[in-house]
Amino acid sequence: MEEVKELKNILERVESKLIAAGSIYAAINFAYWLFVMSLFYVISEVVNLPGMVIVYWSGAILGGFIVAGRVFKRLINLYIASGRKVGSFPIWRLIVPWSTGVIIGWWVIPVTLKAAPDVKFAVGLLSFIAISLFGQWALLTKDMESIPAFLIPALAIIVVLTMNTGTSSWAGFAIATGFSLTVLWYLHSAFRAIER
Amino acid sequence: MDALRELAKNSVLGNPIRLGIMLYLLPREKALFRDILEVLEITPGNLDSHLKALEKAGYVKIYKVFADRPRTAVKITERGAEETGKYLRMLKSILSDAL
Repeated sequence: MEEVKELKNILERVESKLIAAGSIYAAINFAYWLFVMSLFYVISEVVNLPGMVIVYWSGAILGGFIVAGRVFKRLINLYIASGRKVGSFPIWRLIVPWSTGVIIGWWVIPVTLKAAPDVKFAVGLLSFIAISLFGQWALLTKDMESIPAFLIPALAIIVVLTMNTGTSSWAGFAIATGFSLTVLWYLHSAFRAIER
Repeated sequence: MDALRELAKNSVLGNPIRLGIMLYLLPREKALFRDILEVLEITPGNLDSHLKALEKAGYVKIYKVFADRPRTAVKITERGAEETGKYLRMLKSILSDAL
């Protein structure tokens, strides 16, 4: 009976480590975007070259695809092993929400909203993040930990609509708050799984 | 009893070395042959035969990469991830029933 208990204990430890690995991988994506956003604020005060914004964000998006791709490959296997249904072409669960987010956040809102350009930009950015991440959550991850990443930006839209100045920066910080909370929650879950 | 029967059916993962390989690969994008060798502390011939059995079952994919020199790399397939997860759950349920 002791051997059975020991084997069960080993299996539980293996399971915990796999759960922890999944949580850490999921946190990396959000940590990457936190770094990208913070770095932009830091270097925009130091470097002021023409076209810097476009070059910076194009590079950041390209980097984001690479990070997300590498994280996604690992996460999919862990999701499949844990018994979650991801289907035969799981990448659509990322393409659909992010395309919807781009269309609504960067096209529909700026065209239809009657507000100052800075407010339009802030609402568009927050909508883009909230819709895309909510879609990703609903279609793929369903992790409690990633709820702040879309809920805080979604709630921030209400505040942004009442603001007159500094809306873009405030929206950026609202997104960063949501992402930070998600990273912390994922890391907390990883440590809890390891210590279980 | 059903779980025990299902478990007995899976001759591929019934081997502890093969199960160890799958668990090592599960959270990784890929692993080099030499890394698996180091972790499991087995001979290259032994690892090669287990990897071939896993590849035949469709659980892993073996391919060549260039890392300082041409190396053999292994990655888990979706089928491999699914079967490993299923196997672990079955094993856990049997052990829970036994206690």
